[in-house]
Amino acid sequence: MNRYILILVLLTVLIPLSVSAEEASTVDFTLEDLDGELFTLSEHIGSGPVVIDFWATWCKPCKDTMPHLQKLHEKYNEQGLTVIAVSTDSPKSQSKVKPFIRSRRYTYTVLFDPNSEVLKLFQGCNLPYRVLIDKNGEVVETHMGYSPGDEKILEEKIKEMLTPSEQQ
Amino acid sequence: MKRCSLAHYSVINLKILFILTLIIFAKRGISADFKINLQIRYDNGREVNPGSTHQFPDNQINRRFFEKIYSTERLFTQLPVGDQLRLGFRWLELQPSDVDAQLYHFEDEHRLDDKIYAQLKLKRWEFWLGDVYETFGRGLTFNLFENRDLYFDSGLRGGKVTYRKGKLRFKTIYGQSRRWYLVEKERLGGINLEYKPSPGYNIGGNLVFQDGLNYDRRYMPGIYGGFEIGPVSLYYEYAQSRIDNDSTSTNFYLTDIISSGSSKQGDGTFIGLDVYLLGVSAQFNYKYYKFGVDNPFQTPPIVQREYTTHLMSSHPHLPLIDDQLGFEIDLSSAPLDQVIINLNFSRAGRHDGRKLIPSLNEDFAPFWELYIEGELYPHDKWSLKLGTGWNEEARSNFWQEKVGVFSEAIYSINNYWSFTLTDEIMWIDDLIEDVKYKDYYLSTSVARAPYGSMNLSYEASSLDSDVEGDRWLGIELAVNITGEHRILLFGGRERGGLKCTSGVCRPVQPFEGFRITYDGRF
Repeated sequence: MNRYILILVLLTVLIPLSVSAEEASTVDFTLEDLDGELFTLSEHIGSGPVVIDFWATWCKPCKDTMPHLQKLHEKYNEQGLTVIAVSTDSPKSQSKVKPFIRSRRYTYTVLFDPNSEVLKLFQGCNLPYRVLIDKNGEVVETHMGYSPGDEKILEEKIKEMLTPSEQQ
Repeated sequence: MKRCSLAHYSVINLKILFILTLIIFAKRGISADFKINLQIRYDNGREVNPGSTHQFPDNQINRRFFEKIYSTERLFTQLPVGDQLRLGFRWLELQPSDVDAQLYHFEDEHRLDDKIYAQLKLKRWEFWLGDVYETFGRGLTFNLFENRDLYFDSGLRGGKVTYRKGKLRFKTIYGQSRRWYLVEKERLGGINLEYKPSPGYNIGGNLVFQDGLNYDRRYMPGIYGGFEIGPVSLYYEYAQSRIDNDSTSTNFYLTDIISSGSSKQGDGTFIGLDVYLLGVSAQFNYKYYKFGVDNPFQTPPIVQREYTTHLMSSHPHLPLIDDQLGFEIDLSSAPLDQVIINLNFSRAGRHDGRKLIPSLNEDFAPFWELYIEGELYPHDKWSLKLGTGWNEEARSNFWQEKVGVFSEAIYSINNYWSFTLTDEIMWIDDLIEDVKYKDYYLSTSVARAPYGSMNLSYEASSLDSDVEGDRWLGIELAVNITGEHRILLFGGRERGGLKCTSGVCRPVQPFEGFRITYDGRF
């Protein structure tokens, strides 16, 4: 029992040292992309909405989502939309990611999160898991699972988030 | 629910403490988006008891299964010491079914500290204390992971330290596993050193030590390396298993899997070659495993296609690391914007002397599979998947050849409503029993985005099994609430089979009744 009390005390002590609510609402991370280059989210915030889709090569509904993400990327990238697919494949299955993406000619950004640290940062648990971030860096929506038609709802939200001037 | 009163009160106290902790956490406004994940699964019905001597349906017993998992994780970024602190908890309540209790010796579990961890990043250092997972290379010496569906958890309670300087990374880990399905209590430690001169290039080495609490006392050294030049990338890994004494594994789950009389000292090699040319991605993987024993803390690449279709995935080939070699060729391409094609061929078997290609002789437990799948997106409203698979496997008292075809069509009625039809047929030739039969699977689903879907599935076999009958009908309703809460309601009958991930498999018993699954955050 003592160890739980210790944890409680530890947490209580640490709370004042932590970030404030305002600072915590904008989540940032840095991950490696397919070519081993580092990608930092905050550097891509500001031009428009960001869709972060967490997936893995073993997840069938995740793979069903990906052609639709490619369409959204092709349609709205120039207007400011950033699509990021974050693979949570373990180091063991990571080698399947690059061939999968290249063979399907997906051109959006693909990142590696082998220990699911970023997934947990966004409070995700199961795949597929999607996060929609506005141009101010605020998380405006999270969505778990995939059913056909979810991509249409997402597209409507993206259209709403793109300002009229950005839609030309 | 068989609890002694003292334990019961102890559990209540722990729950109160847990909730208090979270309230304090939340009230202080750590983060506007602070959330707790909750996962619940409840099964109520009947399932086949594999120990029963009766025929179906008299071989069934009641199944009551309940699992509730609370989990949360917070990240602190402004600290007087360190750059980043991550704290995580998981609280588990589990009431296993009678069959699970009987087969796997599971008991009621109420653990506030099912998972608890703290990670501190301090410049080049990273300290992790509590429940840890890790993979060295591609897992030939060390791969710890958890899969709740498989009841598998090889994670350790202990600590991990990582040091990074430029292109060099050093990791060390030490801890103790918990007894669970396929895993016994064991103390393990490991070190890993990796050098990455540039993106795409790496070379590393590791040494893992098992203390011998319930397994053999073992050392596992390994090396690995890889490079990428233009469209070609190559990866190589080699590992050895060195036994300190002749102590025998006490893990009774493994007795069916480990071949008797295996060598207690062995090694393994994995080679992966990827080439991307002319729009075609080609992967060639090769395994040469002769570790002599099966070890749950080692799960090297399986070198076969793991996820195929409903019927073909229900009884997959079980990869064996104690004595198996094999290869896999995977080709995929999108020749047109609307067409994706994938072809996979794999072959495996026990070692036949020093031969580098697996034998198809039935004495060496041969397995081979060919799988071809095409995805078509002819129109915004339509998508179609077509596939076929053919495999053959022989081992002691088992020799089957299977051919299957499947299709899946999705039609979007409008922006919100869609209809999915999936069907599959598989022809099975049981060469031991000299019986040929067919399995069918049909599934229809109506989805209304973003609220959910309703699925009706029907599976049948032309072989009336004494164990599980010959037809299975089920209906499942999936409800999404605000994108953060998902409820799945299943009612009907489900066929049994073998569930596998990463080479770890668990037999799933045929079930009839209803199941509620909830997954949400609040």
